[in-house]
Parts: sequence; structure tokens; C-alpha cells
Amino acid sequence: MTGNRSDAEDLAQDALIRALKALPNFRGDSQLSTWVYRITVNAWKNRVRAEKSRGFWKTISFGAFGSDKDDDEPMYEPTGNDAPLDTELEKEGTAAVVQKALLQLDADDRAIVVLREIEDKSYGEIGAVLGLAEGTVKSRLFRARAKLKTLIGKVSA
Amino acid sequence: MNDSIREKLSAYLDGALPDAERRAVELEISRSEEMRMELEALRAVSAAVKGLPRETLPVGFRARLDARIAREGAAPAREYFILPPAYRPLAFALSTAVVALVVWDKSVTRLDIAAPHVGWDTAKVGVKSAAEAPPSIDVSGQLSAMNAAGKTREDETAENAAPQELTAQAAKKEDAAADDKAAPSSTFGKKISAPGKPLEVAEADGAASVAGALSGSGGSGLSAPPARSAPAAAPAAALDQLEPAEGNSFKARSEEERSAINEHLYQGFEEEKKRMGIAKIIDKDAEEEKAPSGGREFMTLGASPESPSLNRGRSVAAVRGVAKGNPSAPIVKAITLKSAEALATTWAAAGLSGEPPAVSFPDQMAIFLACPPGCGIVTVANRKKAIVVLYKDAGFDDASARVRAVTLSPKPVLLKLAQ
Repeated sequence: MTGNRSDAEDLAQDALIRALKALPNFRGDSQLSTWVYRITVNAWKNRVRAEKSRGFWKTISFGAFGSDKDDDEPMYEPTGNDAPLDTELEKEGTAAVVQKALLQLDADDRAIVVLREIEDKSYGEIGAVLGLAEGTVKSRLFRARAKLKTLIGKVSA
Repeated sequence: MNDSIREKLSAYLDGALPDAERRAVELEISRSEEMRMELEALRAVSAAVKGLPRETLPVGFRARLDARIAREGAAPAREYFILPPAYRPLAFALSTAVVALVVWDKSVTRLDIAAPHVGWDTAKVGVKSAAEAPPSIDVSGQLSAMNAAGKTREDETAENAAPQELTAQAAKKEDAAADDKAAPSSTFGKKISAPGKPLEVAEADGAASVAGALSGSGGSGLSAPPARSAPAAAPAAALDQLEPAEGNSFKARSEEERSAINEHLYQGFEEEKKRMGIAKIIDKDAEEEKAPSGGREFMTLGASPESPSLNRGRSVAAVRGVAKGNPSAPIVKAITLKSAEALATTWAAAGLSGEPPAVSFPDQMAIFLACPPGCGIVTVANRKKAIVVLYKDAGFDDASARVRAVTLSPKPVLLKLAQ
């Protein structure tokens, strides 16, 4: 969801600490895992809002190294896997396109896609995490997938 | 294409449609080539996202999390900001009364007006000036009613005090304030009495004003309902009584109780984490905590002497070796290494001869550039948010240009091709 390893770790720490702090208020209305997912998604949305408001989402200045006018994409692609180099490069090609398209989805759409496709959550569980009715989950997931399809086409073009 | 059917393709793909709707979608798919293509496109998108590589938890995650918890604390947040919920009705009633009375005190003096509270027996209350007012009021009836559902920790303290003492304190403060003729003020009393006990507002300068306005002549104008008798209880028993009704979020507990509850919940949380399949982070921590470097370990090379492959190292930055737009350009990677052994292994795995440059481990880490022959690092800048590695992909004869020593840092590494 965050697009890079460092932010992902920070988010995971934030979410787990929030969950620990809020545990006394957990009433068991949902599964603990659903509750933790909800905390994580909310923490992430807060971070996205905060980053956007600070105006440097995904942007780091390299003023000391001359013009960065053509640097409109992230400078680095953390991989972190142990696959052989050739396989890794092949995977990076497809995965990078999908990842880049995914990062262009807005927060709500990205959350619903990640919960369904990567976390393999049911519509009911997604609804519980995001506070949506199941019917709303269906329609939003459809729209998010349609947007993602368009974005993948644009990114890979 | 039928839009309502089209919107159901996504749910159909997930097998989340009821039978009737599923059959309708299947019928439409069998009839419409466009619908079939749409479904396949959605299926491809779904598969592409599902096929994204999964990141494993970085080594040392648990250690860093524990350190952050130790630094920031993960104790349960305070469940109230200023007053516990049990006091809020009281605070609201009193603050409302103060606001109303300040207005009255300024605009109305020596007028007979209707009693402002339905719980008071007198139909009318005489309002006098602040200077003539006594220092305290007895609204124990209101307190009893408001706190009927439960007591608070301060109640317990109040109950342990002798009623005579409270009465004596109240009388003493009444006398003092009557002599003082204090001017009204917004300050309010700090002590709140238990149900059944007189409410003390004598610490407030404006007490005379409040009491005068409410009670009329010397506090006798208000006739509160009889106080609820509250038996004295041992602290533990009193704490038991503090347990709220189901659904009440406020729980006044001792620190020991909180710790015990937190420990119990934390254990449950740990079990749930295991059930969720993330328990393995615990196993990696023991080794991580022994790491001498003390830094963030996500940059550590994972190569071992048994399989000295460059690809077992953890690259922290990777870019195309030439200007973007050329997908066939070789990938250049920066790998951070935190031990001489890791550096030697990586050096050998990259097919380089000789010895790698000296690096002062563990205070420093080595940035190794995995790139085509002739490449090298121009400079390394330790910026505020990242370590920026400026490199060239040709022109270096000495392989040692691939390695730079930098101060050990948890910052991300960014690669930039020098112009």
C-alpha cells in the first residue's frame, strides 16, 4: 500500500503500537485481525493525508545534483527478494508497472484492491475493515479494478 | 453493454454473486463478446496484483518495534481528557449553571425568577447580589441522582472521610466566604464531594456568586432531595464497584489491574498475530538483537559463505543504468553491507579481483554498486532524508570505485546517474 519498504515498516509499527494502545477498548465486535486491519488502513490513510498536506508525497529534492525536471518517478525500487538476478529483472518489469499503477489509485481504491487481491479478504471482511456495506464493497471494488486496468495501460504504454 | 451486469463482473470474478445474479451474468457472457473481454481484462488485473512480489518483514522489525514502544510507550491511552465520564454530567450541569448565573448576576439583581433546575423543590428562587451570598451550596440531591449509576475513585476518598469533617469544612468555608465578600470569578472549585455529601465550591472565588444566585437567601432557598446514604467500603471493594455497566467505556482501575489486563490482551494479540501468519518476526529478533551495529538491519546482506551469490544480498536501491525510456538498459543496484565478511563475499560474487576497499565496520557501512563493468560511484551525499549515491555507468578502471564507506545510517539509499 505504501509503495516502499521503509514506509511500510513505519506504517506497520504505527499500526501495531496503535493497536496495543487501543486494546483495552477492543470489545470483540469483530475479529481481532479485522480490527487490526482497520487500524492499519486508518493509520495509512492518515499518513497519506499528512504527506499530501506537507506536499512531498513521494518526492525528495536533489537540488545539489542539478536539475531534476525529468525525475517524476521514484528513484529507487526496493526489491528485497532473493530470487536469481534474471528472474528478478523479469519480475521487476511486470511488477513495477502494476506497482506504479497501484500507487496512482487514490487511497480508498488502493485499500480495497489490496485487501481483496493481496490480503485475500472476503467482501464481508473488507466491509468490516473499511466500514462499508457489502454491496458498496462490490461496486467500489469493480470501479477500483476498472481504474487500475486503465492505469496499467497508461503506465505500460 | 448492460451496465448493471457489467458492474457485477467483478463480484462474479470473485464468486461473490448469488445464484440468480451469477446465472444472469453467465448468460450475458455467453451472448456478448465484449462482456467476455471485459471479464478477462478484470481477471488479468486481479492476477497481476495478486502476482506482485510479497515483501517479508525486514530483519530486526520486532527489535525496532520494541525499541519504539519503549521510547514512546504503548500503555493504553487515557480514556478521558479532563474528567472521567462519570463526572461529565456533573461538570456539564455546574458549568451550565455558572454560565447562566454569570449572565444573571450581571443583568438581574434582586429579582424573583423561576428556579433554573427542574429538580429543585422551590418554584421560585430569590437571586441576590454576589456580595450577599454565602460561600457554598448543597446540591447533594442532584449529585446523588447523577451518580446513581456508579461511583468514582474520588467518591471512595470522600467516603473515607468523616461526614462531620466535611460538614465542618463546609461551615468554616461558609463563614470565611461570608466575611470575605469575594467578587465573582470564573474559577471553580477543585474538590467534588461524594454523593450524599455537600458539594464544596468554597475554593472558588466565585463561589459566593454561584451560591447566592442559586440559593437566594443564605442557601436556604434550595431544598435538595435527601442524600443517598453510601456505606463506607474497603478500597478493593470500592474498586469493584467502580466497574461500569456493560458498554461503558470508562473503567477506573488501578495500575496493577491495568497491567494485568494489558498483559492478558497482549497475549491474545500475540496469538492472533501467529494465527495471521506473522509470528515469524519473533524468531528473527533473537539474532537481530545480538547485531553489534545497532542500526536498522534491513540493509544487512543476507549472503552466507555456503552460497556466496550476489543476489542473496539485499539491494536497497535499483535504477536503470541509463536515461529512462530504455527498458533494455542494465539495472544498477546499490547494496549496503555492514560487515567485512559481507563485503568480501559480495566483492567475490561480483567477480572482482583483489581486495575491497577498507571500511570501518561497524561504525560505517559499505555501499556496493552492482553495475556493468566500468561503472563506479562519483560521490555519496548523506542528505537529510536519504543517502544519495551519484554514479556513472562507465569510465572507471578501478573496481574499488564501486565501494564507498558511509556512516552507518537507517536512511534509504537513492541512486542517481551523474550527468
